[in-house]
Amino acid sequence: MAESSSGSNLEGSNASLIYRDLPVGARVKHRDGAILEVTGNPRDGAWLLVRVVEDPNDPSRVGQEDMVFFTDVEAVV
Amino acid sequence: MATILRSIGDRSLRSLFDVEQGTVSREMYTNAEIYQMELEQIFARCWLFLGHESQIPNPGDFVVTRMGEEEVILVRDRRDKRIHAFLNSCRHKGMKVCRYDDGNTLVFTCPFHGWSYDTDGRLVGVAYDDEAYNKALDKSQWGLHEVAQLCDYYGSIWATWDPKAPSFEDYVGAYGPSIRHCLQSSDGEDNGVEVFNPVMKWRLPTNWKVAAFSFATDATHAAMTHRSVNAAAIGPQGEKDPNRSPMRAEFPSEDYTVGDHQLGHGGAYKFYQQPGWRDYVDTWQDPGVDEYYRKTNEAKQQKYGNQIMPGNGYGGGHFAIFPNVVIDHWRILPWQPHGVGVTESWRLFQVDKQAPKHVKDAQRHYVMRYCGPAGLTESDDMENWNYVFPASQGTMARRLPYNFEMGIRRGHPDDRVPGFTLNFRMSEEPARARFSRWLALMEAKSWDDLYPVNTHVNHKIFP
Repeated sequence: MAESSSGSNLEGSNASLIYRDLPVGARVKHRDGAILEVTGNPRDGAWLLVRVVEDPNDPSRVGQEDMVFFTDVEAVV
Repeated sequence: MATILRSIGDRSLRSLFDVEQGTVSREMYTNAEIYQMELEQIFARCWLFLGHESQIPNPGDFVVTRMGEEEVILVRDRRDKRIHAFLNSCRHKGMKVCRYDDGNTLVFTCPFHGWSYDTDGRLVGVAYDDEAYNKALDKSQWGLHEVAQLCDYYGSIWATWDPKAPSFEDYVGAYGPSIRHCLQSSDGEDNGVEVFNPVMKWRLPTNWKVAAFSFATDATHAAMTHRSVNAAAIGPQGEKDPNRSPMRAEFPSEDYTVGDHQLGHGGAYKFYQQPGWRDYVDTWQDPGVDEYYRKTNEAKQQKYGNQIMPGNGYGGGHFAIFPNVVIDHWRILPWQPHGVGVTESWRLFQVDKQAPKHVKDAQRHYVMRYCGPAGLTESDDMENWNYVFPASQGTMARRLPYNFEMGIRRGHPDDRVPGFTLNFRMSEEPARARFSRWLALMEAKSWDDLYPVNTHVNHKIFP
């Protein structure tokens, strides 16, 4: 289910535009369940620079910085 | 060492020159085999001009420039602000990772499979890293390919692919102080200029050496080629008044054409004979511009009050840094090879960083009407550069040599600039020096065979 509470549909035809325009501070849900905060958006429609906010599978990752590819993002939260 | 040209009957490169007569075979500019060798022997080894740091002032800023035929991303790292230069080719399948001329970015993302690189060149994003590669891909081994050496020389950025190349300072030799001086602002402060953006670029149907080797001061072309603009007097004053051009301001000097046959650089050279600097001569018709330059000129006079200015530099004419760039106090002019008969001409125009807007505007308007494809003076030059190539390419034309004998046997060394051969104000010493260095580079297997890494070699081939 890619429909977020904010209505951003990352499976729809506008998904790449929504993804491209996500602002710094927005939060997304990784398909492994982690919640990620956007720290930078290169606006290429492919990648986000993120900080791990929650990770039920590996709590030690909280606070780490990473990059996330759009196919790994389940939803905007 | 003989390097053989298979395409023209197993001739050696050295046989292209009649050094006693001062002639050069037209194969030099028209032969595709030679051109391919140049990409390997010259452009993959020499220090090349990439750009100016003012083009990328902020973290994440980038411009796409060139080294030989290949695109290179010149980028300021978004974290530590260091300048890097990377081949614009994804390490995965070779796609361009940047398809803009300039901009600001967090990462360079390949549009093919999504490999993504940070501004320091590290591979930081691989799509399906866990599923497709089982997280086993060693990203540290697959960063963008970076130049072997990079030098920020008073704001100008240079690089080489060859880790064994000498330092940039050794590469430019006695012309180092001249480059530094040309990058000073009009008040004499180091690194005092910026360049106008965007860079002027246009393509010429000619070989890169036609322009790059002759622009190294072609003293006798101006009267004929530029006859019309000389008559129109399109200088900044917009009128023909010999008392208003700073180029004509009196200041004691000796003027030569010079060539460094060991390093390949050359062009105009001016020895200043006494400390100080000339008085300012009103030049501009644009309001307020002379006032600005009069003030900066006074500052420069104070700075050089007790010292002799570096040779060349302001008003000293232009000089060429081997292989493909010419510099003077208001322009940096690279010629980028795109094929044996295609050259992209770039123009970067300098202006004082601290100059007010009306001065920068006046300067920009001046260089636009002087240079480039729409500039009155340079469009004159283009007529020659464009037609030299086709007129040299034919079966009969290729049998005839080019004449570069002007001033041959009249050159002499001078202790003030070790390595330089000084010649009369009108000579082709700079071009001959470039051919000497060209042959050395084309024949050498590595920098171990080349000056200044090997200080015992003598590259000069002309008397």
